[in-house]
Amino acid sequence: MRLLKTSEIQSTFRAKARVPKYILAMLAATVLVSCSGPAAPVAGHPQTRAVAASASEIAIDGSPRRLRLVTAEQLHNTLSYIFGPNISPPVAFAPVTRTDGLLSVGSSFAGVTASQLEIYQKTASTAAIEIVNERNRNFLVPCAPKADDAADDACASTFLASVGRLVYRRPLAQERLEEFVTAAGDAANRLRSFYDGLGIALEGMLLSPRVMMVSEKAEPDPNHPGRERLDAYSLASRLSFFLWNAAPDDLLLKAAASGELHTPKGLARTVDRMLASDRLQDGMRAFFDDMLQLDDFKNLAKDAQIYPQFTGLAVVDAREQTLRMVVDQLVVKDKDYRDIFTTRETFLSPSLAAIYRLPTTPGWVPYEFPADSPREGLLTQIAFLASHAHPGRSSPTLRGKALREILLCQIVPRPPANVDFSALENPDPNVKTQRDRVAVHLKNPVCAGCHKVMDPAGLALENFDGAGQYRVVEKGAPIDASGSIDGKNFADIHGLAQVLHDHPAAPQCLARRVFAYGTGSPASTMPQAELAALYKRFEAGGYRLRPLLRNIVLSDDFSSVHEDVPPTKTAAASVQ
Amino acid sequence: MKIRYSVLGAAALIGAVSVPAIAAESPVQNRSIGYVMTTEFKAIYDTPDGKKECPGGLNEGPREQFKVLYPESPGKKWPIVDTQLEREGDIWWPKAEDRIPYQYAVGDIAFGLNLDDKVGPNDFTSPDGEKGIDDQLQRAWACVPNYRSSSYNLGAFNNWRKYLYNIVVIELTDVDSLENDDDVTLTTYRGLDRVMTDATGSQYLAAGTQRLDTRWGKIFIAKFHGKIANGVLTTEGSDYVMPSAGNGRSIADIRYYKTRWQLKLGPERAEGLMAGYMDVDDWKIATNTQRSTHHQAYGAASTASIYRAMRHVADYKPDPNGGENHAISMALRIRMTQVFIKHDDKTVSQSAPTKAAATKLAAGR
Repeated sequence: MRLLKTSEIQSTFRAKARVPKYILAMLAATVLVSCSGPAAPVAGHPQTRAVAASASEIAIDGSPRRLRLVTAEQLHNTLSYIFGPNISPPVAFAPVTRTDGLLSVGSSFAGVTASQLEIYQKTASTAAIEIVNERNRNFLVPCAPKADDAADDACASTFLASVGRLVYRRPLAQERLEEFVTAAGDAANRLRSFYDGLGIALEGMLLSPRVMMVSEKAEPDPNHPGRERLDAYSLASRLSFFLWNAAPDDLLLKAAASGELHTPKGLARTVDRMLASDRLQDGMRAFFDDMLQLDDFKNLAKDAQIYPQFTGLAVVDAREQTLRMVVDQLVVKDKDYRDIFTTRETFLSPSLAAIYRLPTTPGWVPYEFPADSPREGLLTQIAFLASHAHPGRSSPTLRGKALREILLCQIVPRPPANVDFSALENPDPNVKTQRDRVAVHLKNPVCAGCHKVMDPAGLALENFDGAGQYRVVEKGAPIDASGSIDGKNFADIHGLAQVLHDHPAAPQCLARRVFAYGTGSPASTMPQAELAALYKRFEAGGYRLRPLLRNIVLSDDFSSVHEDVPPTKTAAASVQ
Repeated sequence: MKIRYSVLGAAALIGAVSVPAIAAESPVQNRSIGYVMTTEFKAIYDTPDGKKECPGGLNEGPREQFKVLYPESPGKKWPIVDTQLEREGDIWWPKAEDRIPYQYAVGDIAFGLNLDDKVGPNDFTSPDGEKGIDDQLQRAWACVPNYRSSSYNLGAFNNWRKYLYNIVVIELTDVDSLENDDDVTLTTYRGLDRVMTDATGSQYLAAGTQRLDTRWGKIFIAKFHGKIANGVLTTEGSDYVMPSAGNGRSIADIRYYKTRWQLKLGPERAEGLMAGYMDVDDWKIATNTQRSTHHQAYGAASTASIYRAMRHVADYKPDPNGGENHAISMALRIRMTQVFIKHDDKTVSQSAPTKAAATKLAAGR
């Protein structure tokens, strides 16, 4: 028996996937917002030609088989679920590149550096030490060794086989298990401690690329000759990391082992169990944290002199508030997805209440803004307002861009490299409001194409400063928050919220993001007909999240995979 | 109703522009506004070199006094019981006269308020020229380094209210305007929540929330009738007990008789004076339990001497057996930050002071 050597692990990790050229081509093709005109049509939008394909007409394309990194949160959740919440080593992995709007997709294109490997090793070591220490071993190791100061292969085998199945997300091969047991025994005899030896074997197990990475395996699909599907354990992992943001539990692995996952009824039964589990909240928190790009909060900083209310605690709580609201609305209360743009229900903490200027009580408490409050929905929460603003002032452009890209899945091109920002820093004392300031965008034809797409939506949020605090004037001048999006006019933030609520691209964007997140593939690679059918079912289900998730994971497209080659019908092709 | 709160005023200017209602975010809610005390220190009037108010020099502290009382000399051995313990006894059970001459402040300028609505021969004039200021603490303390504006200890007093036990909350009710209102009520409470600091770390955060201790803190609930003129709140006098715990541990509350408040009000801050007749014995217990002789020595503050001086010039609450008064007129300079107040409706006191507070306030010595 031997543990994996560092060089071997590095070699495995170096098997870094490259971004296929066709994906780049499609990403370019899905730059849907034209800078020479208003927002370009998106599938499902009235301006777009209808995609009338029914589910039965849709060819199964599936998604590419992926090798992707486990995120820090996924590892944390997995260890917590297996060993209990007390086993919580600090896990902080290097960030991955956001791809097609999602970090989850980016994790399929990430490599592992030597320093990242070092972090993995520390994490694995810390977790292993915690699990076998004197405080926890009696609860977490299901057997007692014959002697504390010597090897006990039987007990080590019992523990490592049980844990190995859960962290490897499939049964350990007997040969591999024996290697770990031998390693545990050798270390125990050298260190004269059964538990120290067990900990070393466990550390090696946790450090395995098979734990730190999700490597999907395919097999011929007997129901669709000529095609491939995920094998049962890979499907279990894809389901679990998608819905729970953690590795599969014991029941899910049993369903994989029994073949239940590859029967329609068995898969439906398993999916329904997963959708009913509290772990779904963790899974959807992770998804919305990714989709709403709340990871930006890790680097968010405001000028303390300008926004003294925006404390370090408020930064943390703002992210948490949005996640709590979204999960509460869509998972706990099972509401219409579009309601997150108009709901007055939220959660408050003391640090946020000070910014909202509201009374509260210690801890997190549910709160509903009164009908006459300017706060309504996701856009008026501090997380959106503050993260899409400058350190010392608001930004209609950044907010409008975020609204377009994050919530409507439209891509606004980057500004030209030689853009002249000096025009925005107009020293004219008569230029008081942001509306006055960004008006310069529209005077320059080069700028106007994109800014007339972004700025009107952002200007509707000008009643909130760069920290998300409510205001009615800027430098003494009244703020005009009226505007229009895609032909829909509104007078204020309430109008904008309603327009967004009713915008067909909003729920369609969610459907695209959820599918991409679940499969780890850019949504731009998805066949447009499948997206359209998925969206129709989402619409028919009242835009509720659980039915959307259920439809996705029960579809053949979710479990069907192919090598990294372009699908037969791509978004790129269908938007021509 | 004239709500002058700036945002409301600005809202009125907007006119045709669609403006969402802002009632939910105004600090004045249901005609009330709360503040939490963030800073308090005794308002002592002094000059940079002290020669004007302290022509005889400044008082010396415990270490210097010890050397005077128990001088070292060859062959002389002082037993502890006749030195350290004796002086410690003076601190807790002061003798009728101290053995160290005391420097009282002179002059007629002091901060404070006119607590008895009279202009008497011992009264001061405020730096703004107001006559009848009652502040005998100025005489007793202005020549003690610990209480002068150059004292390092003022910083400690600045932070006194950060201790959770010491959270003083006031609530103004019946407020129609923070600018002018001839009939408002100020109610004091002990708050239950730490005061948050802002992103700079140097200021206290407005718009926090304070829950009220209406169970064990009934003694701290007092009501004051007042009025607001040109943005300044002035109340009538009422007795008040202020929570006081040193370093967050030793609890020794202090009674202030006929207390009045004078605060410049704003939507986020309030500052000004809380003046009244402070119970000298309460102060002695609080001082001796909350700050050791060692710490007081840094500010040259000798409780044994200071207590005697305070009793000599005390001007309220005569001893029922004759002799010196038990309470001394004084003023606290205070700063407050706006907070929202969370009431427990079942236990809010409706009278001031409460029965519990009145019982303690009325207790004779």
